[in-house]
Amino acid sequence: MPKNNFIVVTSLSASLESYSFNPSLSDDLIYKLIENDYAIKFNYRLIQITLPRYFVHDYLSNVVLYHELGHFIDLKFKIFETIIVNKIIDKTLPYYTKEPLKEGHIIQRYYHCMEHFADLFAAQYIGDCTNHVLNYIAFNARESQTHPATSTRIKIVNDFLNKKYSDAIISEIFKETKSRTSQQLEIRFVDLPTDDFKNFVPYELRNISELHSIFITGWKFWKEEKNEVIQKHGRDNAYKVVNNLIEKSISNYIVTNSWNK
Amino acid sequence: MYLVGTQINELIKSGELIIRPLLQPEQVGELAVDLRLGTDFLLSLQGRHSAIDVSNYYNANPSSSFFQETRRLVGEGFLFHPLQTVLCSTLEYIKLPNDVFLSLTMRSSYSRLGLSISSIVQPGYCGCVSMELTNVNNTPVKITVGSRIAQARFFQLEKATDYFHTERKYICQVRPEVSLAINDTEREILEKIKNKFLK
Repeated sequence: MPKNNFIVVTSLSASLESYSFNPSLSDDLIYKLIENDYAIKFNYRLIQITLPRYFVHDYLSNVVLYHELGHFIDLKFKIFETIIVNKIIDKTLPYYTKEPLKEGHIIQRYYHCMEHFADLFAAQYIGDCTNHVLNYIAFNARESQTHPATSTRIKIVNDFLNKKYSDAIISEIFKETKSRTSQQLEIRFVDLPTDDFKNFVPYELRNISELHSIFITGWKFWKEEKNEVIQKHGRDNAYKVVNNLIEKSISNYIVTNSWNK
Repeated sequence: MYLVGTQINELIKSGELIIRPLLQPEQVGELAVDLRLGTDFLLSLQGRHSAIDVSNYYNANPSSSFFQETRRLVGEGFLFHPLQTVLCSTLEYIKLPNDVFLSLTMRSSYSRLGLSISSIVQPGYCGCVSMELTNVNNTPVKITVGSRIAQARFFQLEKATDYFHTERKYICQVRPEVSLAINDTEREILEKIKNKFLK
């Protein structure tokens, strides 16, 4: 399936915690079954991502959609399936601890590795933005069966952004991503100044890298210590302003590109 | 002072007037700038409630419950049904200089279809310009999103003003928003007066 034949669709949920990737339509199996039974051939595949309805215009929070997209890439290219088969089951994957893995931890480690991959996938495009969101929604959260501790996730993303590849899990992710996708995990964003946001105007984005980077610029603006917009207009208004300007910067980029093609 | 095309272009070039995106330079005409129909819409709905009540501060249903949000892609059609109020906005995001205001009207080609608008945008405003459109024709009218439906005339004042000298309800809006009339500050004063008389 050519890479342009995937369509990302989002559905809105009433739950405030419902950021998720639904894998049911990303695999070929369901399409093959339909084709066999009904002779209907699909030229496109759907990538289904759910987000809370309440946050539909909250672009600072919606950076986690990059993380959810990372789960799709992982599943599609079987990155962690390979790692778990090759490394975890034979207990050769060094992880946070030097102690040998117990049987009961294997599934947990598998889930955790998936989360780390999705975090790193997102960090390629939006830097440490998911760290900011994690700090809001899961500050100091301990590890669970499905998710690593927040502090571990933040450290691994920061190590990646600072090009510290000493952690065993990062090395393994790098190696397997390159092997399975023929693409390297790398920084794909650029640094944009926050001037346009301060002047209340949307950016004129010039390319895909700048398009992804607008979220980083938004977060940078929002977290600025002496933010005059927050001081003058209050946090609620400033939050609305930055989200609106992110939305308009993106839609202007899409419209202008379509117009010029 | 009424600004003509060359003066508008000078303001754009100097960065004092911002219009993004300006898809075609020809949008800036001799006397006005053509503005396009944006992608987001709020449609008025007829529901179980008898009225949109912006007189009742405490018990009214929010105005948003009387509108449905929808979005179209540029190039798609949008249907304006007879007598249905549609809130939409210009595709262009505009930031006006502090001494220039804007007067918005329909382009005559669209007025002739039964749509009308007349609106003033204050100096210093920033955002997509809100349009409240009602099709007064008795036939539905379908319009392509991205069409040049409105025209903005620009007027320069002798003295600059400060747009933010009072608290603003709509800052940097990029899509239509429902009325926030219920948040007007005089509402509380009027409420107190009413309660005083009713005692």
